[in-house]
Amino acid sequence: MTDILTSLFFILLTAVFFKFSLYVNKKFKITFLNPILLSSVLIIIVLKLFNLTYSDYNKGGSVIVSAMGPIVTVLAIPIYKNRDALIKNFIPIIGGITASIIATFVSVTLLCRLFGINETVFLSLLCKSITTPMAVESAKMLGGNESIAALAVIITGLIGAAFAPLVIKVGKIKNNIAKGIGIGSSSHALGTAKAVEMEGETGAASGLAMGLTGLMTIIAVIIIA
Amino acid sequence: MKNIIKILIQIAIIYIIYSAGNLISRLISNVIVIPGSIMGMVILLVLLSTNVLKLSVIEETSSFMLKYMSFFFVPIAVGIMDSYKLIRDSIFQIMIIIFISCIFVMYVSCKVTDILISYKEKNHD
Repeated sequence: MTDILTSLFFILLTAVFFKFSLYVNKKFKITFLNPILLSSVLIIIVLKLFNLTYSDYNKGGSVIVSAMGPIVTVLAIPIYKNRDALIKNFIPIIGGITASIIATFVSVTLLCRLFGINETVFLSLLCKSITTPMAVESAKMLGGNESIAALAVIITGLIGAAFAPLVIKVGKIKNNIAKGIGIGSSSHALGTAKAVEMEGETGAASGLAMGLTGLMTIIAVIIIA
Repeated sequence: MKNIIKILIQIAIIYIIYSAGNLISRLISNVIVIPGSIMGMVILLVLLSTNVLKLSVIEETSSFMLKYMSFFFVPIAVGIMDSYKLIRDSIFQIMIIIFISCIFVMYVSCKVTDILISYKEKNHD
């Protein structure tokens, strides 16, 4: 009984903080004050204040996260609705995703060399742009650390979701499909959550890019490893 | 009451498709790792394209789920309060690497797609 009450309490707490963060985000229009980032920071502060651990919180948190799988499945709907535009631009889309995979491998390799990051961490960061299960599997094949890979995926997603509007604006990206491909291929489902809030085909393209980037990265890793 | 039943049916359909995705994902896991959720996405796409499943049957619940997609990531982000310890020794460098790389990759991918699309449109018109 207390377990059910605890999980209900933390679900409610998360919902209240998320609602509040949405309000703050709307009111101040600061892009990196992303609702996910803001509400999770607030929740961490509350947990620390009351001396609670993540495993206490996760009794409710894990219930929320369990809905994640069906949501990714449902991303098929925006893809289906925009199928004509996506099929028409199939070659540019594959081109953009290929560029993204190469850019990820090259940038992570160069930056890790520059900062003198050890081999295990480096191999765990290589596949940070794809969804957690795929990234963890890739890290395993490459010889990285699974937990570090999972952490890198989350941080990447948070950064991608928070800065996507800025990258699009500064980079002067006009085409909605191009925006979505960039977001989905660089910051997987977390970025896609931001993309579905944007106009036109952005969300659909991001959902598609997320799936294809994951698939193509895994295939690349199988060939390399 | 009728509405509640409708929504419950929609949730059930989505969940069945997702579970089917999970099943296939497990069956092929020896060959390639594709998450059940993405496999579910492929199945749903096939069902919609072949008209086996009408969009209107699940649209209401689906658009609600997608509208609040961000919410479901909050607990994962809260998890950083524990997992950051894994990279404590070089957390600063790793954050910079991920930040630069993520922004760079997003820009390159957006730009390449954008250029390819406008190139294609120019050649067709």
